[in-house]
Amino acid sequence: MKMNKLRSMFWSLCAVLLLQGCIGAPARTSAPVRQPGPTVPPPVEPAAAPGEARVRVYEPPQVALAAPLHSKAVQALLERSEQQRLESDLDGAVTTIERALRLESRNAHLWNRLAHLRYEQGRRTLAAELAAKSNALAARDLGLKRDNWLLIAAARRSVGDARGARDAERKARTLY
Amino acid sequence: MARTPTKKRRPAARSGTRAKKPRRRGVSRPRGRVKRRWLARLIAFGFLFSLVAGVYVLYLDHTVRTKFEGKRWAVPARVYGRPLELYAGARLTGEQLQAELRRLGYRKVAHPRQPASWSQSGSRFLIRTRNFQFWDGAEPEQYIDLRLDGGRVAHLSQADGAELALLRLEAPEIGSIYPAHNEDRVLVRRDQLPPGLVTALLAVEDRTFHEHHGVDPRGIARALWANLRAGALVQGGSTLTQQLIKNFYLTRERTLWRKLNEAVMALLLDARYGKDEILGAYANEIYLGQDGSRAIHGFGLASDFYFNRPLGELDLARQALLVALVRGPSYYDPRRNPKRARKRRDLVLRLLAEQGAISQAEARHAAAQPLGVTDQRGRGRGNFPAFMDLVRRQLHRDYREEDLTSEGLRIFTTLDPWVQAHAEEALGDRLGKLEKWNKLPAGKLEGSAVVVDAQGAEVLALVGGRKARFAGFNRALDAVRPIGSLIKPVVYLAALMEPARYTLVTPLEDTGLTIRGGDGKAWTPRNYDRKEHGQVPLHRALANSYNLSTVRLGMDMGLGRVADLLRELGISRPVEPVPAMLLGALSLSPLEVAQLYQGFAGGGFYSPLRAIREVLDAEGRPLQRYPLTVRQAVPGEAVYLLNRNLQEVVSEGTGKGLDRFLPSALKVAGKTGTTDGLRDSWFAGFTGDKVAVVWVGRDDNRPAGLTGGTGALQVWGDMMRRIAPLSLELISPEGVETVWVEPHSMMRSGEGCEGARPFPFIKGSAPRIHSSCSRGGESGLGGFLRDLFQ
Repeated sequence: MKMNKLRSMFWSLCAVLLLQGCIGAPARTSAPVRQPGPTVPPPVEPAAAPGEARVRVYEPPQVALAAPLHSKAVQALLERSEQQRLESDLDGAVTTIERALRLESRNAHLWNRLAHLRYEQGRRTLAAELAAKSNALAARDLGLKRDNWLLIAAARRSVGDARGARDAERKARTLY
Repeated sequence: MARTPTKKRRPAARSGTRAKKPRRRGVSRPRGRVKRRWLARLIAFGFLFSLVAGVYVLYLDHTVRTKFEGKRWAVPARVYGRPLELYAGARLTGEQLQAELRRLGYRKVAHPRQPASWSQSGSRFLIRTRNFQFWDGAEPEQYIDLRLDGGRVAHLSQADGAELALLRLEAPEIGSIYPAHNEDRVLVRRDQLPPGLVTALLAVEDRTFHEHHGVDPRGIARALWANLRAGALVQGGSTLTQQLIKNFYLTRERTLWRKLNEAVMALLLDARYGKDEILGAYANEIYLGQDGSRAIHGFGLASDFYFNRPLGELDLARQALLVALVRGPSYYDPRRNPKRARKRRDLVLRLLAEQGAISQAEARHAAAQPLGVTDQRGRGRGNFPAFMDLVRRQLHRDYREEDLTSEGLRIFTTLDPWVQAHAEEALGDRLGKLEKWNKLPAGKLEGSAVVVDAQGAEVLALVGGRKARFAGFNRALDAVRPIGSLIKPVVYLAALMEPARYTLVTPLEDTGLTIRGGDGKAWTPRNYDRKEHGQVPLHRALANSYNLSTVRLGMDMGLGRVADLLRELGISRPVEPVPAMLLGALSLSPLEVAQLYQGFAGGGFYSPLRAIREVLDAEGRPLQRYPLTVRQAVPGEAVYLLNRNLQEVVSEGTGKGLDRFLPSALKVAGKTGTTDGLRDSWFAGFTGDKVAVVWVGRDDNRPAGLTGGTGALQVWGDMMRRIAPLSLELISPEGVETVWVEPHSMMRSGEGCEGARPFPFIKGSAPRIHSSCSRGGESGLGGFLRDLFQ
């Protein structure tokens, strides 16, 4: 009885080992060769701050507006325009951006700035048109396009076009 | 209470008068009475005379005061072109920079120490700029170091090495809007008058100005004596005050009465106002020259007119010349009579030296200088008449004529003098050559050109005719002529906006047809080569400007649709929707065509063309801006397809002739236009930064003998070659994909398949059936699945 039990255990063990052998990876036939050069540690994602949950599946991360590389002249005018805006001189800020656009008329970021300024001035329809113009020149700058669509959405909503606003927001959401 | 005394007094007064009369009669004697009567009459007469004279003097005083204290002059609006922006990376050649500095009256020197001067060493420029008041603030005076390399600004900094991101040179003045009496002036304040000029003026015209009271009897005597001695009129006896009165208040007639008025008014003016005020008024009123119908008044404008620089920058010799002109601007005109002017100027210098105002050495040095008069004339209406005409028309929408001619407004426009100069030259040169090469009668061809900024819609240049400086018929605005095939892109755009029906490769029938209009008349269009081309893909029909396929396409789209699209793109002129419209029976001006094509260049965004940026008042306060606006008129995807097709027009179609003028790397889009009997020759097109339209034809509307390709295209090409524009790099919109297509079968193909070409399609509109070539490289299942899902 005891012998039978031992035998069945032995055969069971053999069967399990056999099965494992079939499913598992083939045994290595030679020793691994060490790769020369320093090993690069894999990129480590920063740990989430305590209390901050990352739910990627449902909410894609915010695409930050990539800081565009402007020429020195345009950068100076952008800074000046921003200064004017902070001083509540919106007309001056608009004039400065228009001046920058004369230097670089196909710079989509400048059209976007102009759109924001016009929005701030309450000229919502014009703001939306300027944002659309910025989109037409933005090529693959998704962050900028997203910002333009959000501005268009806000402009449309402010003039009572809720459906148009939703369309624009939908467009913005696709740009990641 | 108050009435009682009045009632009491009245009878007393009456009784008093009655009582006096008999008493007077009672005391008179016969001999003495006659004497006294005469005396009384004399006194009465004297009194009456004094009264009348007094009233008259009061009247004169009132006249003097009213005009002197009110707005003294109608100050014309001054019009400026665009300022040149300098920054690292800006496209700029040495030639262009030099031209701009010359236009602004900057002096080329070895070491720039004064504002408005510059030096050059190879491609390095050191420039001392002037300060200038713009709409958005002052651009301060700066000393800059600028280096050019390969047609661009390679380096810009302050001369001491400090960083400088960008700066604007002053806006060049391009004209003024002066009133019907043609007086033009630039006001200067008394403190802006250079002391040297004042000294010279007083030394020559009125030595005792600061001592006399408006009239100088000793001066008159001295002048009389001098004139007697010389036997001619060499010296005038009028004081500056009298001269001012004469110009300011009185007519030019030479009568004793006027002389008397002049003297009295001079005394009154001197009594009422300070010497400085009188001198300031004189400096602005004095007539100093003539420019066609424009009268040059005041030292401020004269300095600009003769020397192209502000009064404060004049040296002694130039100041002396201005003073010399006071005596006779026409007789001593330094442009027409330089010898006479020089003699008079040297006399002024001698007088100054004699009176000790300057040293003998200074006088000699100044006398050795040339007159220094520029050849730039006619900045009033002369230099850019067509553009100024446009500016006036746009201003008249917002301002009254009298405000423009009298309020001293400063108007900042979009004119780029560099582009304008090249457009004028290209048109003038080419028209002559076209006449010669095509054996056309000389001097009959006319033309016009418009150049517009592609994105900002600013009008950069406007040429109204072959003689661009001649203010005649402004063809750029007023020659409203049939536009021929320039309309075709609108027809094709209407089709491309319906991607489910039309793509660039959709086959069109280029076969004859007859259309009956509403009036029952039959219209049978023909191709330019009188042939039928059978089935042609849409893009080839436009590139080769086929008429038959275009008419079929337009009739399919609907005439109303094409007319609506024209309106959407900014054509406000009423459009009659008749079939002939599809081949350009529609008449437009070159400026309107520029508006239409700017819409294409702007990617389907409509921006109204602007010639004015800002208007400031006389004190430099902002009045009005004309901002940049856009409106999406047409979907960008369809316009992108159209623009690619318009590039094909230039690379392989009717616009191919441009390759004689432009470098092959420069991408351009455009369209030729020709009308019946070769009456009008058009070319409209755009590059990366500029839209330009050229019309060539005859004013009498007789056949000019040129097609769009053999006429206007040549001018366009020559003009663009000179302007050196940016290449047209089209940005593909999101909703457009590129698909390889086999040209014969119009089937979807693969890269590398024989004869296959990539075409842009609005997503979802590309051919779905694959040619055998494109399937060759793929597994059957992959191709099947792709076909299934596309």
